[in-house]
Amino acid sequence: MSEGVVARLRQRLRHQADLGEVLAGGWTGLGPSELAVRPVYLEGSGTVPLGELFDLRGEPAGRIRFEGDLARADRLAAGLAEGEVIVEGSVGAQAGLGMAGGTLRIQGSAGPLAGAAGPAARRGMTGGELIIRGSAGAETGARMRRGLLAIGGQAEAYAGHAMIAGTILIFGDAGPDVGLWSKRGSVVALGAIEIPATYRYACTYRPAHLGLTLTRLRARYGLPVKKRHFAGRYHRYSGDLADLGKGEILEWTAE
Amino acid sequence: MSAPARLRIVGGAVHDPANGIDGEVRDICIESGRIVSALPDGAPTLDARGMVVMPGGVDIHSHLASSSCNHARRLAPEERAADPVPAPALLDRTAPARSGTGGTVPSTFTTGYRYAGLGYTTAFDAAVAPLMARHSHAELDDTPCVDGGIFLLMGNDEYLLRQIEAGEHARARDYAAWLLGAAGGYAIKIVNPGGVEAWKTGQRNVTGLDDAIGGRKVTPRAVLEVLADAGNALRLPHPVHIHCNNLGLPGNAATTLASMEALQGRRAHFTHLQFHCYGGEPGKGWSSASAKVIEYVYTHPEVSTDVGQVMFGPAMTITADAPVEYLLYQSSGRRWTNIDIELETGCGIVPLAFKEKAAVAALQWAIGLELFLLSEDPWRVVLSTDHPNGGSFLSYPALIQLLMDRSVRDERLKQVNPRLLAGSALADGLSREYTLNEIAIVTRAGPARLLGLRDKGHLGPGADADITIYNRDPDIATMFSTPRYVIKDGTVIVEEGQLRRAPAGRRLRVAPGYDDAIVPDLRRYFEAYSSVSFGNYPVAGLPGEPVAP
Repeated sequence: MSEGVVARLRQRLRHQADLGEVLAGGWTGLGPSELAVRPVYLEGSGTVPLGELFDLRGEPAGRIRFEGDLARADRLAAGLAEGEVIVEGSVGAQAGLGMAGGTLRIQGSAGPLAGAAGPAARRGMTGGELIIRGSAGAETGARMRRGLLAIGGQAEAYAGHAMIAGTILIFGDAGPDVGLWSKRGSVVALGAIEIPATYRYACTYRPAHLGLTLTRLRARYGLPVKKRHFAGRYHRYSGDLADLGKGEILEWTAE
Repeated sequence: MSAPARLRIVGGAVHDPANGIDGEVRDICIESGRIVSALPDGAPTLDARGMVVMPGGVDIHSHLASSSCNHARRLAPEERAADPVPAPALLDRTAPARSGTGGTVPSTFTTGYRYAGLGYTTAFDAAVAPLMARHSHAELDDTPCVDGGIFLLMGNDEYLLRQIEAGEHARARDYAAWLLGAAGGYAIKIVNPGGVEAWKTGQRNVTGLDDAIGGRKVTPRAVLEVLADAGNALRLPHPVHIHCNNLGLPGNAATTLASMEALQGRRAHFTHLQFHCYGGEPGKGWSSASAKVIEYVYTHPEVSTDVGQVMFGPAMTITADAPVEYLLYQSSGRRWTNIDIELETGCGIVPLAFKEKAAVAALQWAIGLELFLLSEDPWRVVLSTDHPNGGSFLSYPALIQLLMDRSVRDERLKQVNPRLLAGSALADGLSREYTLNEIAIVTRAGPARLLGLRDKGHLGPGADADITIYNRDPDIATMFSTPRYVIKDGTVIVEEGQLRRAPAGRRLRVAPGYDDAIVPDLRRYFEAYSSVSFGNYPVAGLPGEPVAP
């Protein structure tokens, strides 16, 4: 299988770059020269073609890999609908904003609002898989509607804020106020978590579906799934009871 | 056509330090809202014989009209229940007379009435998030009797930090200029540069001028430098208004001096200095470091300050310095609120009482007085209590009495907890007593000059006819808390100590020029990150014209 397209950052980004339009809609059939003309908004300079910032090579194969420090690149893979996007390092804010399908894999850390909803949008990601190997910023998965979002490291405050549905797994420690205002959806906490006051304990059990999800995350993305995650049981808390209350937090517990 | 409104104030002892007049008995002439050099015979007169005449008071740093004030009002309903304020009996039927509530943060109309009742005719809200400017302007619309303005918080602004990090200082300046115009601000305010952003990103705070802010390659030092340069390059009437890092922590005088040194040679105003003049070390105790700081201020004419005096009694701490409010909540156990104002800043509020028997409060009280009494240039060390943080503006007369009357001050000193006062200048005895002229400087002429208000704070021809007339009284506090007459823009609003008219105040704001190239960038920025669209962000329909640079 071809490696697909590789986009290597030419020079360190001095300014914030908005990559939100690069992979929105259909892109998997495009080669380097066609992707190179897609617009990027560079703060202070205005719109520049992607090719000005990145050196692109390879063949279209439904996959693109970004190389270089993208900590100042915001909205990478926003509105993603198809294909596989791999980022070798860390990314800025709003990665995978409102994505609808496909896979976004971030090998480093993500800034705030990954997989979340844009300022004027009602819904965050509505499908696909968003995998962050490192830590995630505040409000990751805010208002997400469907899909799978996994965080290998820590998550800052307000993960899954006002979630409508979908699944978020946090392997590291979760910041405060996880799942506040959620309607439905699952937040799986494999590290430490503080359960919000508006969630209520329901039961302790071993959710069968979780084993399948964990197996997939380990096999496909190499996330740090441990034996204890399968062997352990999970406290289920229902919430957010200040809203619809059909959501849940599953907190891993030993034995 | 009706005749221009005229009034001759006859026979008062005039204190107009900006024009070198110190208690001389002379007439003050008013025509069409301004001071004039002479009036024709037969103009109406106001008999001020035996009284003291001063320009209207100017409050350089207050929290009177903002969304954070509203949060504070909601946080302390018991204060409002305990202090209902009936509508004043106005003679002028064209202005509405409104009832309201008092406490440390009075309702809007009551704030205007009470400032006027104190002889103050101009006041600035010193900390407004640009996003919340609309709210402040709406409150100022309902705060009669005083001309008002707002300082805009910029020291923790996302767009600004990005520009500083990228080395785009010109664009940072353009952004500051755009913000001032869009939000109707008067000056640039910095609160705990970088510290609020650090707090919001999960760090506790910054600890000094060279800490990285929230993982960025930006330091508080860079924020201070870029914004001070911006304020001066834009020729703003008031330079950058700085609340330093480490407010309220023992040993913070070192940070304060380092901040002043970082800006050496640049015009800058350091606010509520009292809260930044502590010696000692965190966890190991407190002491006064006022002498060192005030010495620096005196020898550096580019620096100006207001004191931020603590007065014993109830207070309401309101600040954009959200991490400090968390510490205050932890140490006081009082109710609190802490707010994230998305891309711009934070906010925290904790109600508090300063008690004589509390050692730290006594030290704070002493340090404020030391700053006043050791200051050799009252023009650059002006009066504030950081209302309502160090106490309500209603305590200004009591503060003036402490400054003017050593016997009252010494008596008060005997009642306070002396534990931390060892070695403090105040405890060792400061004999200085402020003169009426010095009081006129620190409460009117000085603040007006520091704010660049050419037509305020003095009584020369062309000045706004904002005038306060006091009865002489051996009790200084009584004298300053009950002015006999207050005149606003030539209209007598307080007569015989009673509020009789309550005209709307004017809005003081600036609209400096900037490079239009920044606009498309900002439009994009707002669309991508803000909860408010670019088109809706600027405050529309601001009253009056901006002040010229």
